[in-house]
Amino acid sequence: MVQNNEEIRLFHGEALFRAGQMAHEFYMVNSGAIYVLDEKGIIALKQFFAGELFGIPEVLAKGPWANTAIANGVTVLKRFDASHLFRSLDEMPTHQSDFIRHIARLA
Amino acid sequence: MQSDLLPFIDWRYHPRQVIPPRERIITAGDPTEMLFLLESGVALAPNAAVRGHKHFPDLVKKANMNDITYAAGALLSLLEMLALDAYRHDVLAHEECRVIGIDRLEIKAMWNRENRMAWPLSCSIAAAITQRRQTRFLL
Repeated sequence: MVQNNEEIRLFHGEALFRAGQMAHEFYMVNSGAIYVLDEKGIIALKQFFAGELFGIPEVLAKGPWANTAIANGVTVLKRFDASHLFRSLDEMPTHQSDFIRHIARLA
Repeated sequence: MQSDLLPFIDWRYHPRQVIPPRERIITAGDPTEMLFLLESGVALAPNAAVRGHKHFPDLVKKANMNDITYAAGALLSLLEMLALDAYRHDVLAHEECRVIGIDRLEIKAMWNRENRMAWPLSCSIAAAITQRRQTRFLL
């Protein structure tokens, strides 16, 4: 589905993205962990570990990230550009891509 | 109409079920083997809504902000059907409802005929959203 991707490395506590930034990319964790924090930046609402993919609903919804995400420990991720996902959707029959976009808007 | 999202299904040829007011259409714990289209009436999923979920409390006067209200044409608990093995929330008929049930595997097979990526991608997105809602709910 998505071939062009880039590896990124974050230090412990470094932000991957901040609440309010537009979601143009989605990610897969290669090693380490990503914590998605609450509005105050205190509680981890969600944690993503090696092998987990995240951010597809936000990218499809073409909206901003609702929360800030930071690395827990040294973390390596693969970054996927939204354009590849949109290209894959464009290759689908319209009703299927419409359905997927509808699902994503429920995020 | 959410049913328009599945144009390859000819809803005319699927059996209808009439559910009296206050009866359950979906019971929490039911396997997500069937997807239900609300053909007529208004249905309510008590306490199923969380921040960010679109719902229509004006349709039902007694509905509170945590309820999801479904109007005619809605696919009931669509995200749960895609993401989970069993429905997580009850869906009740608020007034008499006419629903059409369709087998999940039938929908999947119809989708796969055209593109094999669409179904797993839909399920994966629905799972991400459902998981996030559960996390927020627990917090």
